[in-house]
Amino acid sequence: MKRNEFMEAVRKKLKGLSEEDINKALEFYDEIINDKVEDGVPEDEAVDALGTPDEIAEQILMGMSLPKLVKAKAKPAGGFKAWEIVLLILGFPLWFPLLVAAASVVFAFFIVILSLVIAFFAVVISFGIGGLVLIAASFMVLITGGGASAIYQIGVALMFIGLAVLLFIPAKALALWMVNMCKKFGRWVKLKVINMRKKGE
Amino acid sequence: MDAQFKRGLLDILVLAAIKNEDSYGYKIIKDIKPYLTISESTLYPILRRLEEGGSLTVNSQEHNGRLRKYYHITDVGRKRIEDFANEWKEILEIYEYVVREGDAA
Repeated sequence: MKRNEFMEAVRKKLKGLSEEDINKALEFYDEIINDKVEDGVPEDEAVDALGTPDEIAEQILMGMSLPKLVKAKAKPAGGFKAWEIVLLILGFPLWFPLLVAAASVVFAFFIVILSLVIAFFAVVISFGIGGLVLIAASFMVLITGGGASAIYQIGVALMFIGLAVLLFIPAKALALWMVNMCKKFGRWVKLKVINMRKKGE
Repeated sequence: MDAQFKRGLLDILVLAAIKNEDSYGYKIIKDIKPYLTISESTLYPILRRLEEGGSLTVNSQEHNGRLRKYYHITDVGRKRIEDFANEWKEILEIYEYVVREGDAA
C-alpha cells in the first residue's frame, strides 16, 4: 500500500477524534516509515509491515481514554441530521432515565465489590488493633494481680495479631485482583465502543 | 505471557530504552525487540500513556531535513524503573527460594 493511501485509510478510521489526536498519531507512523526508508527498506514494504489500517486504528483508539472514545463515537461523521436532533429531544424522557439506570447498575456493582474489599480490610485492622489493646490490657491485669487471666488474655491477643498478619495477605491479593478486574473491564468497554464505531460506518 | 503482565513490562522496557539517552520511535523498537516482541502499533499507545502520566517528555529535533520526535525520560519515569527493579529483587528472592525448596523435595 502507498504511504498516502495508508495515512488516509487510518485517518478515516479515526474520524471523530480531535484533529490534534489524529495528527499526532499519523505523525508517529509517518516518522517510522521515514526511518525505515532511511534504513534501506522500500517504502511500500515499510508501510505494509506496520499492519492494516484497521489494526493501527484499533490500537490508537484503545490507547485513548474512555470519555474521548465515547465523544468520538457519539459524533456522527456528517454531524447530526435534523430528524436525529428532534428524535433525541423528543426521546429524552425515555433515554435519559434508561442511561441513568444503566450507569447506576454499573456504579452499584463497583460499590459492592469495593465494600467487600473495605470490609475485609476492616476485619484485618480490627484484629490487629484488638490484639494490641488486649496486650496492653493484660499488663494492667497482671499489675492488679490476676496472673492466670493475664496469660489467657495475652494468648488471645497474640492470636488476634496472628490472624491480622495472616489475613492481610489475602486482603491485599483481593484488592489487587479488584484493581486488575477494573482495568480489564475498562478495556472491555473500550473494545465495545470501538466495535460500535465499525458497525456504524 | 499474560497480556496485562506484558503491558506492564513494555512500559518499563520503553523507559529503559530512553534512560541513558533520548531516543526515537524506530530506535526504541529496535532496542526492545530482542527482549519482547513489539510492533509500531503497540508502541504508540505506550508512548502516549507514558507522556500523559509524566514519565517522559517529547521534543522534536531536525534530522535529515525532517522533524523527528525524541523521547526524554523524567524523574517520574526514573522512579518507575527503580520501583520495578526493587519489586523484582524481592520476586527473584522468592523465586530462588521456591526453586531451591522444590529441588530439595
